[in-house]
Amino acid sequence: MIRTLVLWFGVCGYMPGCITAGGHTSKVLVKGVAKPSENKEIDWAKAQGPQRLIRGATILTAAGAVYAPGYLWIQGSKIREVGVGDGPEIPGSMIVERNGQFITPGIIDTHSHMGVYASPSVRAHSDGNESTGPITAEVSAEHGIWPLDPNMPRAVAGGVTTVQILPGSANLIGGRSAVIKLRPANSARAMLFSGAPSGLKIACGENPKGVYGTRGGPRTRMGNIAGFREAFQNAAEYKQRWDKHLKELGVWKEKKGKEDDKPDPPSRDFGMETLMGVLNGEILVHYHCYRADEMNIMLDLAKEYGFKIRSFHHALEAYKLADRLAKEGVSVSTWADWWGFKMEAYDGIRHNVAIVHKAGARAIIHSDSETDIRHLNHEAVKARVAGAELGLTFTDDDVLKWFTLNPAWALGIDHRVGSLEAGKDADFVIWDGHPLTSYAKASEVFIDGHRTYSQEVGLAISDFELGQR
Amino acid sequence: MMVSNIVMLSVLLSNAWAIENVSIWDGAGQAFDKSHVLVEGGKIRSVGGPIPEGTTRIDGKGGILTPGFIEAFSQLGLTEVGAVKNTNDYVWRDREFTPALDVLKAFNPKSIRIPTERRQGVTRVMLAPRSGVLSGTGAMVCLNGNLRDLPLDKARTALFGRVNGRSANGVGGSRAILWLELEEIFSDAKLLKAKGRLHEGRNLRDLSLRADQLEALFPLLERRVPLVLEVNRAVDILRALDFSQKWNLKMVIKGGAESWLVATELAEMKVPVIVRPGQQGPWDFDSISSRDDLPKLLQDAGVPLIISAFGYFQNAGRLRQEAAFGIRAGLTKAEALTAISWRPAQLFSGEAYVGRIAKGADADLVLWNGDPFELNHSVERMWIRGEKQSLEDRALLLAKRYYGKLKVFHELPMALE
Repeated sequence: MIRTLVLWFGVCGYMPGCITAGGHTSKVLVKGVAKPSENKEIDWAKAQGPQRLIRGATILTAAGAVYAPGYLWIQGSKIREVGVGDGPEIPGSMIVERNGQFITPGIIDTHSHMGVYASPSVRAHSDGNESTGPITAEVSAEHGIWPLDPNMPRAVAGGVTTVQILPGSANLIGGRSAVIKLRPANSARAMLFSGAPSGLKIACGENPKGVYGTRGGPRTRMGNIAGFREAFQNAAEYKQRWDKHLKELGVWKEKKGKEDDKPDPPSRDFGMETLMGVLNGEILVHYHCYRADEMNIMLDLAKEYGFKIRSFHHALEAYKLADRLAKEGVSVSTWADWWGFKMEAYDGIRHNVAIVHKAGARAIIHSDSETDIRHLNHEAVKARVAGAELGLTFTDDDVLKWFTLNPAWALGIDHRVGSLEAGKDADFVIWDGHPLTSYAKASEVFIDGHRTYSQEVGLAISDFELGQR
Repeated sequence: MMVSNIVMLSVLLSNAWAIENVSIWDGAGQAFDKSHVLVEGGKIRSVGGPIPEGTTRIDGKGGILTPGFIEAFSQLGLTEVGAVKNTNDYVWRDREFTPALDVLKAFNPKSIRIPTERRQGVTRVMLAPRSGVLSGTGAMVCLNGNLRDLPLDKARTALFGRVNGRSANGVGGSRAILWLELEEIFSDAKLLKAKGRLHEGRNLRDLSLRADQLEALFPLLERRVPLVLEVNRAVDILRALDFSQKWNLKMVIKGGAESWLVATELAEMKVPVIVRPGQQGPWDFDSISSRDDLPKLLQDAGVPLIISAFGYFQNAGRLRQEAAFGIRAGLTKAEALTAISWRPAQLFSGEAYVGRIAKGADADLVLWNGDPFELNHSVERMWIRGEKQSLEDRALLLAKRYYGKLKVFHELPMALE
């Protein structure tokens, strides 16, 4: 009986076109345009879509509550209700029993290069670093993503539902990120998380100066900062021109001026437009930065130009300035145990996440790896046990947030995903054991209410692998 | 009375101690609940046997005692910082055939990385060079940080090499060149070994490699040490097996992404395979048929399975996580433990008797506060050759330096405003 019901969910193999995402429109980013869509109150009376009630499982919501057991009521692509016990009688809904299993929100990774450094790892698939100049704010990861990267379905099998695909860190300003849901599709655009704000990848430290040291600079950390300041100064001036233009345009519109008198817009520069989006607070800044001193410099620089840094990435020394990060509302995307592979990673410690969390900043476990992304839950457990060395303890809900709600916040989509709450997207994972243990596996993964992975059916193989296994 | 005094005295002199109240997972497939181990002179004197009066007793508080884990492929102590070239001692740059590169001579037991990796239960690692086609000679070392007891002469070693699309590229393109070159090198080595020098008619023949490089292959030809070849593609594994048969070598396959396709041959020839369970995927054209259940498939086929984290530097400590992936893929906990203790020990440890909790073995012991493959458990205490090892590392010192003092570091940047 249960099995028949499960089939109702409809397994969508990893095939292009199986699910298509909502539209995405490109807009000139000026103030007030292309803001993240707000989570509107859903009028459930008018709601469409099949209703499903999953019950019997322990539900870890990442919103503070743990329901053991609880019920998860899905309608269409949204969570209608979540709570303790068996849930209400819902005429016409399908009931799915998941006794003894566990349900969490879908995992979210703020730092992935899937698609832009796809497998097989050959030079032809190297699409993540436009390392032709240190400032390439005009490029977007969206245009480098190969949506058929075999790593994507493997990440889904690890419980991941949303990722931010970032350009690499060769450049000071590497370009825009793409926040995608790991829905099978044949274009990155169809995978885009509709309504998610744009992100911008910025990198300081060893990488840009290493890449450009013999190619016209920057060659030093001094040069890095000079490069950032020049870029943001140009952006501030560009913004000034656009703000002036928009003001004049407003006046012209108000006066109902003649077409001939319509003010000419300044010339459009896609890189400057991106940086203007940062200055306008519409594009979220993701800063690749390891050392505490450099993070301090970057925070000062951001202050100078009046923008916010949403997340420091890697940030192995975040523990050295965790309270400033907390005070300024900057999240920390980092690993549980990577360190020492280069000088700026030398002071990396496994206690970083625990200290950042206790200091009051948002801690995030990111992957930056096509294999670690498959077990971010394990990585979070390692960060938790490291905290215990210092006497720091964390609830399951705290630990869960490190790879669900906190990354959702860093990507500006925490009103839509990252926790199991009414009105949020039906992105969730059913685990065959407690997800904060070693042996648990995702038994089913849902994205927008669609079952995208099931252990029973197995891994959906990519086009590349088809006929080769 | 006098006899018992003498016995007691000898116990005290030999520094005997016992750990009690533990569950023993012995590394060779067995488990003993509520047992104890007696250690004397750095060796395990008995398991579950009598503990002489006066012996120092340590209460294991119901924890789990395992042998120290053994990482079968490591550059720990051969590098400090990956991106700082001068700290890297595991390569012979721009050469493809360097069997004489003996990395043990470069091993730094004071590496800052060792305490961090060791505290995840790893007590020994197989040092492995990683460059070219015949990378060089490795050795098993223990992670006690001791500068002076390196097994420079006695070490059981292994030769490491790589057969894949990339290493073929290094010799001019085709994998066929690679086998051709290896044939030539091994035939030179065999001749040199038999005759002392190489003649062709009356003239000395040109050697394919320097004599000392060829001499480094002698232990292989004598079957004293294994050849560990990194090979992933199924058909290349078969060619490697052909090669080992022709030259009568002890072959070990490392990587083995597609080894499950040739598991029958591997099992028949008892060729061990060193795998990294958590890193399976179609990374390149050598590993298209990779599978997450690789460890289980090999185990079930009877292939001697070894689990490794393959790390350049920070990954030895991930060994237990890799073993956990093996368990997730279907291995039993005992099988996974054997794959990171007794089996690599049998292959690599030479004169040392390590990798299991048994009478006579070196007392490399790790006390866990729970199942070692559950990452929320950790090491309570650990010993190498009966000596207690510190669990403190530089990371912990940094954490303690900063945690609790954050306000101080908060004031500095704020003063800039």
